[in-house]
Amino acid sequence: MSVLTVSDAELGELRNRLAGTRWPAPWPVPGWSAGTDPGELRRLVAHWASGYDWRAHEAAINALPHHFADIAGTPVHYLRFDGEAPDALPIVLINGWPSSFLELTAFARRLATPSEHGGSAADSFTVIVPSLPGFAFSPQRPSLTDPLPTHELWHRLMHEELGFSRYAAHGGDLGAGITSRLAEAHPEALAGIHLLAVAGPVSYDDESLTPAERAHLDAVADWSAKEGAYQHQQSTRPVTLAYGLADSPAGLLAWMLEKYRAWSDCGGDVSSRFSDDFLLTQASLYWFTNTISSSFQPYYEYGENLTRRVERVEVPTAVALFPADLAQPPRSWAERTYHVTRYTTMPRGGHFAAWEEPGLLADDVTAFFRDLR
Amino acid sequence: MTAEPFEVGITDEEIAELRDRLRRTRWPEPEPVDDWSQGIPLAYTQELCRSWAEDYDFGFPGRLNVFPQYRDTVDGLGIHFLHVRSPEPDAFPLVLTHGWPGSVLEFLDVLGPLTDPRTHGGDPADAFHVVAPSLPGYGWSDKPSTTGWGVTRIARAWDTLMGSLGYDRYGAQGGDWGSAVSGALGEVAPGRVAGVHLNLGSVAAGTFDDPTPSELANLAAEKEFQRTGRGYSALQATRPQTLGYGLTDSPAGQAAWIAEKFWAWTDHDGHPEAAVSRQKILDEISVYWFTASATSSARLYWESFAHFRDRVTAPSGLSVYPRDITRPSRREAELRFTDLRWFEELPRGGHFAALEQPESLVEQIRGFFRLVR
Repeated sequence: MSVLTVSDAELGELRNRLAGTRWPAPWPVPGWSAGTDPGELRRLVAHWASGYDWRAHEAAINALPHHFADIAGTPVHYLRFDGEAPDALPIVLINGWPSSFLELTAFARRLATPSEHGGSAADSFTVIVPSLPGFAFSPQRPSLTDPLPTHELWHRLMHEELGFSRYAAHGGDLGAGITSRLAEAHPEALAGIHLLAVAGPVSYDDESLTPAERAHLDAVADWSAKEGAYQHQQSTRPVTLAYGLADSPAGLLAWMLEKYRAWSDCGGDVSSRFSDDFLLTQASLYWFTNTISSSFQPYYEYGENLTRRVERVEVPTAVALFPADLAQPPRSWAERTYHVTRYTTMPRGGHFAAWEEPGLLADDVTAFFRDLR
Repeated sequence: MTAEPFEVGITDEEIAELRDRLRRTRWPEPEPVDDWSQGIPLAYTQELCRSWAEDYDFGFPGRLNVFPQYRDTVDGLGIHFLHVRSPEPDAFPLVLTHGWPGSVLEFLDVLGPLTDPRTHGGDPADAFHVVAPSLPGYGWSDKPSTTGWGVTRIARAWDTLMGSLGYDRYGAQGGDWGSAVSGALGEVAPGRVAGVHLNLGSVAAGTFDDPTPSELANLAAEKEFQRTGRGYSALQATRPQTLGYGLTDSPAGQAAWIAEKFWAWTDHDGHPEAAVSRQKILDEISVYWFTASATSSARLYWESFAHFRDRVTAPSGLSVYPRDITRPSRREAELRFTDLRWFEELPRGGHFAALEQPESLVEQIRGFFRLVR
């Protein structure tokens, strides 16, 4: 199934825009301390405009196991990787921002066919990777008051559309919140959930904070002040920001590239974790589907309290923390909201763990669900 | 220092290139709301950009060139400034400083009345010699190629510039960044700055235990600003580079980023053009576009955002416009302005007082400086 066929005219138009980029005057701040480094961005833009082979990546995207479903009137896109064992446990992998299904494919294949990666077929999962509404090939939600929030869409997809009465879920970033709400709303259907980030408690007594929890909250506040501007803008005035990013591919790439560097375990060198082709394919996917604006919507919905706050998750929960990720919540902090039965601190990797460390992540997911099948 | 006469110019090629980019704008999807709650709406942005490309009058350079302009090197940086001498021999020197997203164009309607009150229905004793520089990184001043050009260094440069023009005792006036620079000028040159008049007084809200209704209203506005209105400044203060690529490359992106503030910060009942004409909004956007200063202007936030509320000890006056970003009471203002000699709350107008209420602003400036000139 070809999900994406970019015309020669569209491809030529992208290249023209890239070649005609109007650049800001240089300003030699050290490294990336004031944002995306112009040298690295210019190098990638030049490659995107000429050397980068979109057609090869387009073919690879089209070769993925795409499916579409209509969930109570909302069209959704998902990938399906069937497990190699007949009794494979179904699992839904929920993406975040600025990610997409692209980042989850290597991880998904390890879960579906563990015997090809040194594991046991008995541990296999049937893996469903939906695209959040407004991301890639899932259209934007038609209205903010859609009665089916994303976690309900994914439950209906797994439970009704695909017929999985009991399944697992995994998510990081926005996907961690959706996974948590899914488990809170449908504990009978979820075998367990595996998270890369946790929702904080709705309320807590300041006196009850442990030193580690206090340090975590201080780190989160510090991060928010220094790194959180994108989040504030995307939560409050997403549309104003989107015009420049929808019209300028260099602007779009700068916006995404900053996050791949800042949030990954790359030691400051984004190329050590992400190939140019990966970064440009991710940016191309956002560009050709023109979805940067709609990808901001979950931030706005959360900021405006249109997203349900997680109160208590009773299903068995695993938390895997990668050292370069945005936050390192102590186990006790996660336990305030979740029934934590596994808590793993990883030796390496960051926010984009499924792409950075698919083996470590797959092993942790596999070990956690082995007892929950 | 030798000031060279200067005229602003834009070429037909620059206009043609802008029009070409505007006509090729790739737009995001329409916002899923029917108001400005997610930022500047698609329909208005499209209409503004259509106007800009198709029927906007690009004549602002001619309107600016009516006034004598110069460029001089101050502290190693090329500074552009208007220098409008009064015909009155006893005129008082005044340095007027614009802010973001403004420029010296804001002052076109106040230059005549300030410099030549006799022919504008005023008292010749109120005359000023006006110097209006473009901030470093803004308009036709150079873009700093090193870090360090924060408000204090700018204030020192203004003091040097005023001295080079033969003014050894003068006043300072400004709103937005102009308020921070003017306040700093009083600190760096207390022997020469006779007084500082501001039309934005950024101070902490909610200080007093017995708040008045207007203090409570200002506190509520401050909280709403913190909740939904500070994305632009948070981004410009932390990641100006990342933001700037899209704005420098996309005129629609630049227009949206600026025009939203003419909605957010002006005195109107729903449409920004009720407060400032479309022509003048597009003039301001044009300055940023033709000088390619989206990034360089944002860098001032990175340099100096923490200094926006520095103490002002010079004799000072504050004129509070009802739709400005923040509207302190007199006693709140006195916590920052330790020698506040003029405090008036105006019935109409917002953040862009010189554009919205030029006659009122002129009266306020005259009134304050009668006390200190």
